[in-house]
Amino acid sequence: MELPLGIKQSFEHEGRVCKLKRALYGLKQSPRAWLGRFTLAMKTTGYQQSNAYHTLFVKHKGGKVTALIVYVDDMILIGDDPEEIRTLREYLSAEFEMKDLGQLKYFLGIEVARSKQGISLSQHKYVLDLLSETGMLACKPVETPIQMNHQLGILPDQIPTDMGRYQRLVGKLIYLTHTRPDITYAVSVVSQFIHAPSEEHMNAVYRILRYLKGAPGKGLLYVKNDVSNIEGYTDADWAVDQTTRRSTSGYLTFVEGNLITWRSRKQKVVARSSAEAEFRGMAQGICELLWIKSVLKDLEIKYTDPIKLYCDNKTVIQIAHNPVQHDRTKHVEVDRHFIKEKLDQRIICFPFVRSASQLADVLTKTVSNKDFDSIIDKLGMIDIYAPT
Amino acid sequence: MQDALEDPKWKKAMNEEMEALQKTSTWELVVLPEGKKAIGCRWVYTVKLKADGSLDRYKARLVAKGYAQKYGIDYQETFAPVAKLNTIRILISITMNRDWPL
Repeated sequence: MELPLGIKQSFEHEGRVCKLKRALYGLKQSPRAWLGRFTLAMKTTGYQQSNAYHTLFVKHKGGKVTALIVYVDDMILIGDDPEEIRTLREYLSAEFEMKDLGQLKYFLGIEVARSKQGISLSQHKYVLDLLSETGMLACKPVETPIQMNHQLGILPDQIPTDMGRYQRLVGKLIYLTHTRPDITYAVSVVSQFIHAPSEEHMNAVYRILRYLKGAPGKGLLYVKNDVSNIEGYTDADWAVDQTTRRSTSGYLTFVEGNLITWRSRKQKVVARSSAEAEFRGMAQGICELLWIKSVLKDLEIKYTDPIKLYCDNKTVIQIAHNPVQHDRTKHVEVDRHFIKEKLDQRIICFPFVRSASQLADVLTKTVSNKDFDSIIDKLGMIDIYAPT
Repeated sequence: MQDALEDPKWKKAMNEEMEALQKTSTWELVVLPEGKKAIGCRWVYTVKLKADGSLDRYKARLVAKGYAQKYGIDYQETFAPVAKLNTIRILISITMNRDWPL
């Protein structure tokens, strides 16, 4: 590195440069250097870096667990060993000049609140800021984030809208999906048009904002459920995209009855049948469930029951169990073998769920107001700021 | 930049930063090897305010111009320790069901 400006230039400095031995702000590798240093410090105190997730550190001692998650220089400590947590706190503050902020209240703009019922995660302030920024604070709220049977697509004669503004708004909404599975589908729809947004698409974004206005404090509630398993729901909506005929699939995962991850995405390839679309969605859901299983394994938590992945398509469940080559599914081989393998190892099973209680519907299609509310309730979403 | 170099309060801030960097011996002075390029650096000046908006102190930070680094020449691997919210959710769910303190 060149010498910083303003250093006294004397004769001996002529033609010299600084060879960096430590990381400086702004270098491409600074964050990596920091994690390396941090990992080393954690390992010397007996912590294991999780294989499933690099920023998770775990220590087991006498049947008790302490876990630490790092987000650059923010971290969260969790565990059932108060003694160990105290020791680690002291160690970290001595080693890295860290401040202890006490109980978890606010993390990356997400509000964490505790009550008798459980722990809730919400982005209340973020929603209010977003609404006031867009001048939508006084708008009329709507019941659902997206219109029933919307026909959004990219049309040749569409009226273009302000692209920068559209992209910024969608970006903000994507961040909001961290605590809002209810708008995930709507956001995934509007984000498909960020490269060529039209007035119509912008209106869809405004509709999401109007929906948020109805319940800005809605968030996820984590409660004690007395169930010990991992569960998931998958669903796919076949060939919904008006322009490309690709399908949308979505999944939801639960650990011990609490919602953990959810996703709604347009598939990358065109599926020739609804069963094929379901298959791809299923394979994706399984990947996610296996990842959760591996994280739990690092925490030494194991469940005896196989993971349940609920699916509302009987045909797909049959094909998954039946190794016969079907003419219409022979081209989805990789996903099918993957699913079959996990079935045979009894890691996973596919119970049938009636469409009426299919929770993943909310991630793949527009549902009626009534169904929407009941599904959202089942996901464990509540508005902690709502007047009771 | 020149203005800041003349200003005593910024001068003080820069000296503080240089002292901190020297204390941790961040770099050593060497002759530039032939055929190599040194990357630039610059000062970033911030006026730190207290929570009530009153003046706290003047801070100068030396940053490297990381954008000038070339992949494969100046660095190989990058990674930022960013926790997925998913992992945090798993831990919160586990915590709730086992009555751990958070």
